Amino acid sequence: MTGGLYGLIALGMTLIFGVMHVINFAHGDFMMIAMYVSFFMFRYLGVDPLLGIFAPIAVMAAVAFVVERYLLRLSRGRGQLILGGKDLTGLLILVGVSMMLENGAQAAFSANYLTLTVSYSNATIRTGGVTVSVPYLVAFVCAIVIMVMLYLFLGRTDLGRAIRATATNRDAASLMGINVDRINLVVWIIGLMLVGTAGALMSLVFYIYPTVGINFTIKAFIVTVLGGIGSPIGAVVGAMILGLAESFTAYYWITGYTNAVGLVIFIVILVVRPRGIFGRSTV
Amino acid sequence: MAMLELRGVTKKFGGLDALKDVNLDVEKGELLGLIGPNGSGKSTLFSVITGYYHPNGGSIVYNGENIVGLKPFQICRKGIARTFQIVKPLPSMSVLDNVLIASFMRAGSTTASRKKAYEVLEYVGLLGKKDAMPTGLTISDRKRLEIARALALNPQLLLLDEVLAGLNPSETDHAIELIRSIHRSGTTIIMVEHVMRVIMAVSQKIMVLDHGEKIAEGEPANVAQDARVVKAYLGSERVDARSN
Amino acid sequence: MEQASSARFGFLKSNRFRILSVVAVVLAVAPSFGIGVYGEYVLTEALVFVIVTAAWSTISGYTGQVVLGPTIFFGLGGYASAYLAARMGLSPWLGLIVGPICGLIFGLIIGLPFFRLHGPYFALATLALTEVMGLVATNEQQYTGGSVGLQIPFQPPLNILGLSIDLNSNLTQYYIILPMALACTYVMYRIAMSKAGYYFTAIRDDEDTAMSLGVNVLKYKEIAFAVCGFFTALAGAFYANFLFYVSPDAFFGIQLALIILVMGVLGGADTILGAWISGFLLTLVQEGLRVGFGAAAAYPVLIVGAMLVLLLLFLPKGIIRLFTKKRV
Repeated sequence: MTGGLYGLIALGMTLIFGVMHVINFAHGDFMMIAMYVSFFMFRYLGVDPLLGIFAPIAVMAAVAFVVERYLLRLSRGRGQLILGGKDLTGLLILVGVSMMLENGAQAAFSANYLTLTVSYSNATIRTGGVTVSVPYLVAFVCAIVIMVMLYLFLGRTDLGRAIRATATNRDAASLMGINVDRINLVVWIIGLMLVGTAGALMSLVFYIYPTVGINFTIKAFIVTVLGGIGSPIGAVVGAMILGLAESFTAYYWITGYTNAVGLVIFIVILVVRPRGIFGRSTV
Repeated sequence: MAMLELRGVTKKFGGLDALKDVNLDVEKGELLGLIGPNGSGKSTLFSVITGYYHPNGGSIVYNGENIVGLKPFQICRKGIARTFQIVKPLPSMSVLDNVLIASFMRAGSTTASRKKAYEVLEYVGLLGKKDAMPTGLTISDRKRLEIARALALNPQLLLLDEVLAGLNPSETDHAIELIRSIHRSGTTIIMVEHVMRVIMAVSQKIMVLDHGEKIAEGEPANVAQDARVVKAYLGSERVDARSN
Repeated sequence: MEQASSARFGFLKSNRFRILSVVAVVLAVAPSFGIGVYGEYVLTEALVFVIVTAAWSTISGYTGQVVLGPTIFFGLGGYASAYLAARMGLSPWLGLIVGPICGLIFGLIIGLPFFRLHGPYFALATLALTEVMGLVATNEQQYTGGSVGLQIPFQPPLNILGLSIDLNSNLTQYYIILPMALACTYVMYRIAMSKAGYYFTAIRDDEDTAMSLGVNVLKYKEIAFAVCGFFTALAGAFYANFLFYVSPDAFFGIQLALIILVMGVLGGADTILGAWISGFLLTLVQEGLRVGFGAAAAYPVLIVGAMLVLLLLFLPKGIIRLFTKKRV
């Protein structure tokens, strides 16, 4: 079940990485912001996170726009100068952004764990001996729906095709008249909107606190690399695999190592098959 | 026995045959010109000899030793140095430092290496610009830097990959003088070039590659007349590739 | 010869040496100026991070293999000291020998698979590794004391030459770390200025070209990583003695890893001596903010994060580049 959520988060990351070649270190932290937005919408306006899902998404889009414009664009021109060259530039800047977001949130909202309880937060459904929590199920279903939508979008629409073109070969795309800068912006915004959706869904089932993001960022990395960079299907499949692996670890081994499993998978995949399961480009 | 012997060297990239059954002998002290239309595999041949690519088949014997499978830096140590078609100076380091890196291999200590780097720079004529950064150099100087770096490795065999590309006539003449001087000092050279008049005039022997295969070999005058060579380059039977 | 920074005598006459000597002297006499125990504490901490930052620069800035998880070595060294004391009843100061050796070996071993990775992947792999090590430290209660960590008991005084030295006092520890930091950074500096250092830079600039110039790329990456491991573990081992405890968060944590990253960038990632600037600057800034806003506040790291972003955008080569363009 958690796999579905991981998938949603990872989708955003794989898309961003596939097109912009930036590893979004602050991915989870943006999700954290979305979670807080949902929370406050609920707390102060009484809006259910699912219904009010537009709010976090809109906020995300705005934030995305600001970040891309001012930070990423500035850094793109300076590839060689910055530590690690072009590949690491964005990552490092986002590291800084991540630190700022996490601690800014802590300063603004305190480090307390918040929960968002809706009428159905604790509801469960029983099917054939397996108990599934409703919020998780809802999140899972939403995740699948969005993935399908994304798949269609990338495959059928003009914009989607332009995005795929840029992901495959940036220079060729720009020669064909695609405004690469604009695509970058669009992809980035979509990526963060996906994360915003994930955040809204997450707020139903998870504690909300400033550092909740980093864990998910790492999970998203793992899933992205596992499934193949730039491949949405890979993100989904990878997410499922990770979810399962974690459940097994928790069940059969030591709970404390649930997170470790993913990390080890991450390292192993990078060393053994950097392309991941469905990935195309070389690492 | 020849200094460098290639037998049946083959290199494939996916479905593409970059090199097909190439045989070559290079005697010590020779200046061999390697020519062929674009895409005929010349640079690939260099990359295979220097260990950047693994040949799919065939043997490469240098001074009696099989060097297939060695890493590029090991092949450097054996005495083969190469310049690149697209020059690659190390961007964050000065001209001097670029050559210094190369000198370390033979000289060892920093002081000795530095001395050697100075010598090499003087030999190619870049001493005055030793503290300049590569981005500030003209193309001609960058090519000289490329050669300087290769020389600092004390090679017995020097592979020059289109060092004359992009140079104007007077720069070309200077470069040829330098190459001749290197040759006179005893270094064996294989040169890839497109500038016909130059390579015909300078080389002792010419080898022609087309689509990865050797189609001709011999003295410049003979090769220029060879019908297959003409066809490969011009697609017709008329030739005007004689040295002027 | 020209303004040499490579020949031994050249260094002694250079500006760097003069500046460093001044710094060393100032630091040596600082305690007598009434900075107090707290002042000694802060300076000690700064010096630890000077070593860590210099080590980080060796692999990340010089060799171009950016490491996001230097804490893998820091924690290794720290836990080595702590383990010796808490689980084996030996003096944790032995950790200053055991730790670095572990760090060096660990670096060599880990480097082999990791150096197949490039750029961000290598960086993330090191981060993942530090997380894994942190998790192991948290879970293997028996060896590592779990999430609470290990306590290092106060050590009996050291009796040499008729003097009784209190190893637990801030002052003594300060006078241990000060020469250590000077020596360590000097060694790393010499390495950077030597053939190895040049090879490191060549690798950073262009691995393929470096190989065509006779550089055994893997070997030198391993050397750089081992150097980083050695000195970072040494600093970690000392730090454990300094804090009298180790814990997964304090020694393997991502937050610490990222702060080291910022220190590295601030001082100039491709410099060794820049570590002296950033190690002190950042430690003082953080302490200052902590004092100003309270210990649990988020502001210190918030500002550090902002610093990173601003640095990368406007001063990517670090503060030291405002002063010199040369190899340092």
